[in-house]
Amino acid sequence: MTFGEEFHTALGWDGHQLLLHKTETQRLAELAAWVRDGLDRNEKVVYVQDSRSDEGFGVLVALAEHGIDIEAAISGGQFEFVAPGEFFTPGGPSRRVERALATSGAGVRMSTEACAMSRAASAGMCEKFERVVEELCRRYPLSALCQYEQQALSGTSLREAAEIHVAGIRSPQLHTAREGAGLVLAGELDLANGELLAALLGAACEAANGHLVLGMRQVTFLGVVAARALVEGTQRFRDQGGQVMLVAPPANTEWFLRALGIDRMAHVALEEGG
Amino acid sequence: MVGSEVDGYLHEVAFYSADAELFSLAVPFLADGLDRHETVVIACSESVTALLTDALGRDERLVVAPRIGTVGRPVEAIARAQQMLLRETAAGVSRVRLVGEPRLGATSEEWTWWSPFEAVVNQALAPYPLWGRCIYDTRRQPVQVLRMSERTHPYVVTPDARIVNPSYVEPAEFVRALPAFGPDPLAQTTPAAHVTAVEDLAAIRRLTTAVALSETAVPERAVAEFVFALTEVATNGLLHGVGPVGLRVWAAPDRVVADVTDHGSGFDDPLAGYLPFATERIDPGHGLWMARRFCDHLDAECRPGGGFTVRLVTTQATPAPPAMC
Repeated sequence: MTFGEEFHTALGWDGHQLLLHKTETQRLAELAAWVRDGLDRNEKVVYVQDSRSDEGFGVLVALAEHGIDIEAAISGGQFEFVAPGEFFTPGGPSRRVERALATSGAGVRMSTEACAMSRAASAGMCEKFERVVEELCRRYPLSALCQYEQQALSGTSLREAAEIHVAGIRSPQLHTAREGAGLVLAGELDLANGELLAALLGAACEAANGHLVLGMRQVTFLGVVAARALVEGTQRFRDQGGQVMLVAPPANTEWFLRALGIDRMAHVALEEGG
Repeated sequence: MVGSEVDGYLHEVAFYSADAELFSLAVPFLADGLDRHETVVIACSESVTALLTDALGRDERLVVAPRIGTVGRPVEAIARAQQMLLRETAAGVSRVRLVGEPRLGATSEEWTWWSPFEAVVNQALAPYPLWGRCIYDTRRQPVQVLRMSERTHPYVVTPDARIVNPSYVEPAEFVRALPAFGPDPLAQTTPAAHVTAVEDLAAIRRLTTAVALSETAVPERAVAEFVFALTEVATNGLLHGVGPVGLRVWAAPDRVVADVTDHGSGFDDPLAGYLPFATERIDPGHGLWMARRFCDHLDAECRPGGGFTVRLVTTQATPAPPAMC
């Protein structure tokens, strides 16, 4: 079972999500879980890739290897490729999504690979497409999975990606989801995702309107690097009077948070699990 | 110098060999604290605590705390002392006054383990208004413990006077001079787990947890703490060392041992990881501080031609401290 599969039933595969992967094996395993979820829900799956390319063929092989009857899905109209050249044009995403919705009773999910996007569009245009997709996910019964290699994002690019996908992170050790007005964190927080965590928290604080609630029930490890990200990622927010509530971490995580003194920091409260 | 006029930490040692001496060293000291509305703490053996509390009329303001050396780990004891002092000063208390009777152990291994506490608190608690008087019964304490206590307290108190201690050794010098723990025979055997190049910290946590829970009687909470400590040491190796960072884990029924090795020269500061941090930040060095709190022993050694190794050990026997208060 991949890390993602442990949590997807709890956090779901809905919404605008960012799949951060370290290896191809990881990427394809997570992608297969995402596709299977959509097919099981009778959604239409749109994959932005040239079906005749090596990448497209690799996706088909991987999905089959993960037990998905991809041939049946394609012939039944439930899975289709769309060429990047067609998709990454002005109005391309909207047209494609609306066309898919017209033939799907249950909703649509769509996925793009960062490499396909960067070949078809400039960096500035890629960010604009991300924001278009974000808007489409709000407007329609659409889920989107944007696939990026984790080591390709850092600094500004990571912060931008985190801001757009703050409640939809799917990375090897960290998942996020929206829960009411709060943000759920799930996974193991250490050196592997310290920079990502700080970027996510900074983005979450920007949108938090004075109170940031972080659901911690599924945070099974939180080390010093993550604690530093938690403190620094929320520092400006707290300095301006914002309140951060850490909700229901598991017993060991709660113990580590208290030992680190996080619960005694200004404008941080720790609510114990039930 | 009058103790009541001193800001910051005043750390005294007092030796006694009769109950009358104990009374004269401790009771007026504690009574004066009560009169000044200070927080007054007794952290002694049951018998001494009973003597002192009776002598003070069982004043309900007296706080009775666990005796140093009887629960938890040395660095955790420093952390708890800091947290208590922060709490008291935040509540407006002008000073905490404490009579402590450290029990540093009956074997050289035990008091070598606990002696850094007496040395390091001189620096760790320096910013806080604590007047601590450590009492040692010369009839009962091993002579090596008495000699150690002579070197770790800046002041010696008798019933009549306080003098600057000519035998006092600065904490860094004291800790550096401590004997290294001897080689663990377990580490001469084939490790239960061996990773030649650590890249995935979550994977080494799973591996070490599985080994410790299946092959040792170390309690589950202590295993979780050990794995936390291991994560922090490995993180330091990845961030500050020279790769690859290697890991070996050994298990015996009574303990788990892990070596984290990199090809750099490591750190030379004898007090690295012993000193607490301000509570509003997570600073560099915090990882090693937490690692020392969460395992029983942490030794670091640079071997010529052999890289830098940090060894962590946790046994099944460390008594757990009381719940965080």
